[in-house]
Amino acid sequence: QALMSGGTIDNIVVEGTQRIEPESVRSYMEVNPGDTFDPVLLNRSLKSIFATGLFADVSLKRQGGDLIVVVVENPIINRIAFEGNQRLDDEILAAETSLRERVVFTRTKAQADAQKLLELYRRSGRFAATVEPKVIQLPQNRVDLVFEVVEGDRSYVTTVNFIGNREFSDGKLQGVVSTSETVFWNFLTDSDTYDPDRLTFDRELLRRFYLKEGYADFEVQSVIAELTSSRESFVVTFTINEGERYKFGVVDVESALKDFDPTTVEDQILPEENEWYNADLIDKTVDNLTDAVGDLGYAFVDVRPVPEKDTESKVIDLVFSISEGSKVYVERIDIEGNSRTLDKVIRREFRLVEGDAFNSSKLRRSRSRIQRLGFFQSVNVNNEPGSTPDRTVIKVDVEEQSTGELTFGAGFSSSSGPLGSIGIRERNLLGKGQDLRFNVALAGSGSEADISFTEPYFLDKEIAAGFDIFRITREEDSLAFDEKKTGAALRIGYDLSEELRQVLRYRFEHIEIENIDSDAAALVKEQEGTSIKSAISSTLTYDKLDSRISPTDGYLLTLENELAGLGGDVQHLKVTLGGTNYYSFTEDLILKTRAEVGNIIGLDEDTRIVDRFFLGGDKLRGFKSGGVGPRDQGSDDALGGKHFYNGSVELTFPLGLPEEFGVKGRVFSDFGATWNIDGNDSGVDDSSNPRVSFGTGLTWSSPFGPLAMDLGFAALKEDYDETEIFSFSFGTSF
Amino acid sequence: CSSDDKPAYVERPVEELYNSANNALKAGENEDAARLFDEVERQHPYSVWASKAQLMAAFALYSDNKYDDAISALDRFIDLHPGNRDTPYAYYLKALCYYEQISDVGRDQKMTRDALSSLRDVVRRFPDTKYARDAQLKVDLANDHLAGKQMTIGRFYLNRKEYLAAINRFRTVIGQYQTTTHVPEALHRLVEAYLALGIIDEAQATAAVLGHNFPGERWYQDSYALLTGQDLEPEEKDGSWISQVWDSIL
Amino acid sequence: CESRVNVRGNYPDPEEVSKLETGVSSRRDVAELLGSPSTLSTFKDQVWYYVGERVEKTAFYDPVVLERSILVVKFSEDGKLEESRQFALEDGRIIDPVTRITPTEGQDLTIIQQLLGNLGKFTPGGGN
Repeated sequence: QALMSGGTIDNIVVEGTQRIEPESVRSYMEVNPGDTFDPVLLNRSLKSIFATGLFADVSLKRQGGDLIVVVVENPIINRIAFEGNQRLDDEILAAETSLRERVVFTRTKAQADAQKLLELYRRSGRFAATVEPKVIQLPQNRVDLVFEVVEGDRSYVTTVNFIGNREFSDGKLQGVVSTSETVFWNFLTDSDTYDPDRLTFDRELLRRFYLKEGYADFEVQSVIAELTSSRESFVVTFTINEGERYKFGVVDVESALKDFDPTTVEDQILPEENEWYNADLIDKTVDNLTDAVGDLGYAFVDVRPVPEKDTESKVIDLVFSISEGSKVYVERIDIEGNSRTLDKVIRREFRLVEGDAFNSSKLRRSRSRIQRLGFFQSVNVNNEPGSTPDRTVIKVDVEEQSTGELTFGAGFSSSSGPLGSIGIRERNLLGKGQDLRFNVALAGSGSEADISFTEPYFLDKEIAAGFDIFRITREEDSLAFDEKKTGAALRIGYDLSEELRQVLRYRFEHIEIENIDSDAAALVKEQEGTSIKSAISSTLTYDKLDSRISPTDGYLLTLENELAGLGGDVQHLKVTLGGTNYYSFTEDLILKTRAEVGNIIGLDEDTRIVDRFFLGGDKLRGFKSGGVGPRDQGSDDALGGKHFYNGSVELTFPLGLPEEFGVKGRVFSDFGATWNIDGNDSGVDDSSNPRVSFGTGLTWSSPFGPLAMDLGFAALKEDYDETEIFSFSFGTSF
Repeated sequence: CSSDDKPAYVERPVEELYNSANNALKAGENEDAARLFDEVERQHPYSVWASKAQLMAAFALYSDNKYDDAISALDRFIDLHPGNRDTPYAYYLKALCYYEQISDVGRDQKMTRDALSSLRDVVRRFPDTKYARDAQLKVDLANDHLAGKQMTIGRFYLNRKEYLAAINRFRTVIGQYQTTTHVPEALHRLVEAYLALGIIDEAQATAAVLGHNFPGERWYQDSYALLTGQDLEPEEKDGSWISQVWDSIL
Repeated sequence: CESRVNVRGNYPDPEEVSKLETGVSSRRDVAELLGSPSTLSTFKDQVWYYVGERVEKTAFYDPVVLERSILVVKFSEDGKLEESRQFALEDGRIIDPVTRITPTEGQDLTIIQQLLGNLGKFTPGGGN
């Protein structure tokens, strides 16, 4: 090998290329004909050619003035195949590998892909899987790449143990963590597969649970997952140290802010002296204090809880120290990932404006408002350094999810018979955040078809405006007539405060009452024919519930008034006031009390049966729907009452079955009455005496949909009321 | 190796394969054309047709709007044949793949940024080709689009009376996008925002620049009217109620 | 109903502003006292602006600006503070932004296209 230095390169000869043009190889080199043989440059050229990954081997030789580059090309992959995979099919595996057909094959890339496939199987709970890349040589320097997969079956978690838990039972803690023991019938869930990330998440769930219950010293000492001898299933053991349960001692607030009196915000502090310690209350208080102080014009606020633990008396004194946060301003808010949603639909949810003082609790609140839109799978909000030290750029990265819904529903209930529904909905129409919905529902007791559209920021204000077009038919056997309503409604809704919301509606309906039973009461027969109802209504709701979907605490008040008579044939004023309260003795022992009062008066005209109040069915269990209220003696037809009151007291309790069954028992007592009609009331039974019923029942949120069964016994009733002991409803939508 | 769903693995002479691929392309069956071009490359990787086929496959995918597949095919071609005489076209086609996915200014401009960087690649690497001339034109259009995005956000803040935020957004347009069609409007919006804050001299200075550089623009007439007091003291004009409703819905 | 007061932008503390000395404070001194400027003058480079507002927001009504302070800081050629002026809410003018906008292309989704797009996607349990 001639000395690789000194003398000039006459020309560069490339040997061994088959597919790649020689000029390509030269273009990667750092030396050209006419340069000197410089070992450093030559070495770097060697490295850069090799870095392309196109060559299995590269070597440099010198013949006189010629620099000879000898290369051996990496083979080209002809086809990639997967063998032995049942659970995950070829497309999923192919998407994971970086190598593709007709790409250059290198051993390192094949190994890396095999590792990626192994990772894929681990994530779906198959820890016993193995993946081997095999290469089959083909003529013309081509290879076939085959990944031989041995999947092994899914490694389940058979048991979840807890060591060191004195205060709470294993069953209780199993409800807290997300990993669950595998049970035969629970084939829908995958929370019983072994997944290390889920265990770290469980560690956090346990910590938060205990801190909420007052165990300030709580710590998870270890989480061990042992593979059973058969290598299929895991035993997970959480070793925890609960420590002592603490109470709140003296709770105070102090401030380092200039001319600011901390006592003005004392009412925001939630933890009270010798109440059990609760970490959630502390976090909530930090938010409240930050807002309250921010409201008073202090742009930079930093609230820090300073606990002082007294282990003997098991009391924690707490001081919320308010100080001036670092002076940082928002330089810019950049929103990325919104390939469908418009920028303004996200930006208008922001509680911060560009140029404002940076405030982390406002940023957190902005993030949760964007999350609540329901258009995104994930919303990551973080801030990066701005152009100067005291400025920051807020980066919002959203990952959109499908906001279209196509739902089919089927069900059965004793009051309305079989039920089927189909709905198509787009919650983020054209990325403008508008909601468009078509629904058609057919049931034994009638049908309903409606189109509804909502613009959440009407006139760029936080006012939700929209319209509905509907066609509703009612053919209940308890009513002696059929009713067909077709019409449209315009509505606007807005928040008056955090809890108080109002919706104003104008409704135009064309009503047809037809095929009245021949033996129906005279009053009913009078209602036959068509009429127009044009009414405005207001609905005020005061919502203090802890959750809208499954409330366990707090109360909800609603006031609805409807004035019919802006033209049309119907003139009445209808007012209904209702309230529901939830109180939870323990997490699953919940007392729900409900009360409602209503009144309708005709405005210089009689009220119509259709608009009056009927009681029974699920509002007054033990009585048939429409079973309570004024009734025509001759035809036994319900005529509906002008006034009504109705309420219920219901206690739901667990039946001792494991939590995932989702079965709850309940005992209840419903009461109420509706009375007084318009028009000639001779031959009509009517009484305002209270009807009372007692009963029990159960609810089951089965994997196929919610199911409810009730047995109601009418204890106090009028002899002409119609009762019904058993009522059942099962509804699903998929 | 078992691959039941893929068509039978038939060895065919390269010219015949290439021509049938070409015919499929001419007949507009882009998907078949792409598949056939791949076969050419798979069965005859060392023939002179292979590299041409790789490029044609990418073109077929591009005309079938399968942009991501086209881009990965083009990347493969560029890696294998950096020195090929068709490489400029490969870079240009890749830039087009991004360019045609540019979404409207209300949405994320990731595609615009990718298009911009690959268009600039074409102009920088192959300055004297016809691709560079067209790429330069598209660079200006892409820039115009990015400026349009800044304007949308600026107007969003202006309409909500967040004048400081609006001013900074419009200043970005003037600072970084001087050659785009949005500059006149950005200048007028600055006049509006400065006036709303009461900084009269800044508003007048901005209007002067607008008048000096874009005398014929309607935006200058708007600024001029605003400044010379014809509506220097307008009450809060709501504009016709219907038009306001119409704007907020559509 | 509830109303909340927010501080927008950079509302310099009057006490800090009083510490500015014309002819003495340099750009760095001003930035140290008041933070970096909210915005710079577009065409005159020695002018800094500090813009801050106190805004009251009640329910869904448009926010009402209670007070606004605009501090204009002008530096001389040698980079020293030459003059600082203060504007307030009263100096502001009511302007009605022109509704015309400069057009840009870019394809947009049509209603039908988006609605039909959903037919393919089933969302389990999406019902009530």
